[in-house]
Amino acid sequence: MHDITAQLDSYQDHVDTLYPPVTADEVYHLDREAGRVPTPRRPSLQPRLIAFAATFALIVALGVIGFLIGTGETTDPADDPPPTVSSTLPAPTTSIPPPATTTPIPPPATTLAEQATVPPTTQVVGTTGFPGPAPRGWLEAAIDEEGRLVVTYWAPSSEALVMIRCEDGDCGGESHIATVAEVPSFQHDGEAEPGVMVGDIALRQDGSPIIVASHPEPGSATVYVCSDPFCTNVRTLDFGEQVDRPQLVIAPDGLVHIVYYEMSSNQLRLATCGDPLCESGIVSVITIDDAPIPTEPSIRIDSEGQIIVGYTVEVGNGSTEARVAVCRDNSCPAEPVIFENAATPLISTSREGLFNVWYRSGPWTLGEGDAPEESTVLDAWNLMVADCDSTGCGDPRSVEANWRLLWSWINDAHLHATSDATAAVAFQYFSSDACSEVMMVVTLQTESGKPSINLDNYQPGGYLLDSVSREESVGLIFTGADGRLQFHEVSTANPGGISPALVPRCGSP
Amino acid sequence: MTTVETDQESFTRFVERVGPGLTQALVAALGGEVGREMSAEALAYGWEHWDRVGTLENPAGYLYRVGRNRGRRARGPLLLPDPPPPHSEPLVEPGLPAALGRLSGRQRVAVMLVHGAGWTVSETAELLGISPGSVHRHAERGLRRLRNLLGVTDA
Repeated sequence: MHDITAQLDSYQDHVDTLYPPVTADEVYHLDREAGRVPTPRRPSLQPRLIAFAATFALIVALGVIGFLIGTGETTDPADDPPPTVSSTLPAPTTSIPPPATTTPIPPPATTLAEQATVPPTTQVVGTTGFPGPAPRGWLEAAIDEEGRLVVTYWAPSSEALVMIRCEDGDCGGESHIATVAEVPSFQHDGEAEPGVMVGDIALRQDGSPIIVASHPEPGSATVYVCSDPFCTNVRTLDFGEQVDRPQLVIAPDGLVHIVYYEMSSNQLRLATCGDPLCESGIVSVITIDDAPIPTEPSIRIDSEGQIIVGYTVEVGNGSTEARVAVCRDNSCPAEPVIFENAATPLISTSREGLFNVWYRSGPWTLGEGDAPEESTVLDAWNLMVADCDSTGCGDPRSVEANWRLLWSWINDAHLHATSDATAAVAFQYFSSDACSEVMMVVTLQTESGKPSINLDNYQPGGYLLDSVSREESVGLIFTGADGRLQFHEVSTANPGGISPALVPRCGSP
Repeated sequence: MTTVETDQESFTRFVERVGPGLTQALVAALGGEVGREMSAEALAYGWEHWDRVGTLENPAGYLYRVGRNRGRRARGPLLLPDPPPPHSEPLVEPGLPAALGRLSGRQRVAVMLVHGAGWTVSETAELLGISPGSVHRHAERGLRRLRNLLGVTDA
């Protein structure tokens, strides 16, 4: 059976044949049938004012009636015309950088690398999970300075943003569950969407969480500042009304930086709080990029206080670029680093002044014979990593290639770099093996240091692949209190919370 | 008379530009017959009020909502077309229309426009009047659910 996207393409062609586009002549014919006179299209001002007043009065009257009967609907044919954009954020303080003129880093050669040298394994780490309410969709975690795991997500059972603070990195002991804020689900077309779409969490030095969350339409966002590690008191800050994909980081000076996509301006922006508790609100907003649909941002901060932002932009014809901007002193470069035909850059800070950019390259379309499945045209993509500093990035190298994917999307990616520069990334992707959806963990030793990962099958310089066959799950990866890398699978389908284990690969006993 | 011709030319160009997408989107949202009928009704509404609609920032998005809301009032089962004949290439799973019907409305529209009709995320977002990020997520989740419903592994 063909890939689902090929089927959709074929099916859409079929639908287009059965239901061809409505033409203007057809509309004019309908117009004549309805007895409407197509002229004048631009009546004089007086009738227009009368019509406007009558329409306005009618809309107000029907709106009141609608409100009284509990529907709140008006008779405006569109019901919900596009809202006027009004952001609560201050205007950007810097001009939009001109289009990037740096020499883009070309995609790697399309030859396929060798298959994984380390076979997939099954490792069980950690112990039993905590009894938290089931999450839905988005989920993020952070580790405090003593190695305790803190998780935040939206729980549909209580319609609330919750924070769970574990007493250790495994969440094997007692845990504290706090309701950060009641966030009702969003009703749309008779369906309940999660009250929080995407967000992020960071911990201050004393372990107190700061959470940023974007909500469904119209896309408002809120910053939640906890007074203490247990979120006994929470102060909220309305962050904006057209915000998507917010991600935050706390700088060494304690200031909170938030990168986000502003839908109204189609710009990727960086906002900074005026003080560590954000009591003075957002005092600075700068534009990072106004390329088409800058999205999927990730943000890290290095030891020198530089803010490193990775993001993806569409460049037409279905292609994307991964871009990286190094911002400091309230300014971002006019010329970000560009990785062509790439997406989803994730940043890990390794040594002082250096950082790594991980990204997905491709997809490449494989011709007949390239792929094991003969006569099948497939796509593949590579996981790449590049060593960078504030002046630029070196040539990227392939971490893993020949992932044969007809349609791939790194989803819910979590990247973690250990103190000795070993990096690991956990994410979901769609595979070509027996699983339609798996979760992948890749660990890699970077150019310095030794891995602290205590996994039996790990080989220095190599990588370990493992997968989780469960649907509706999210991966978290971090270094536990004992310095060991841990990977947790969080079920979003069943109550029970975290399942701290790598479970067998699809198809294995 | 000159104004009428100008408006008609302007509207004709508008229909040529957005008509195919509007029809595709409303067929995805409401089903074949109802979707196309609502597409025609929405465009007729647009022509009737072209002096106002033509000045909107996103007239196609506005008319999409006109069609969708009128279609929702005409309650009835979602009727997506049957798959093409079995000899078509590539083969379409017989259960694809039913599986599409089990997606949420936005997931179905996002999946069909982005992955079926080849729209960009931004084009889809503009028409639906939602953020590209939302389109991204709807398409992503819709495709994932389709795969699960159909047991397609992309192998």
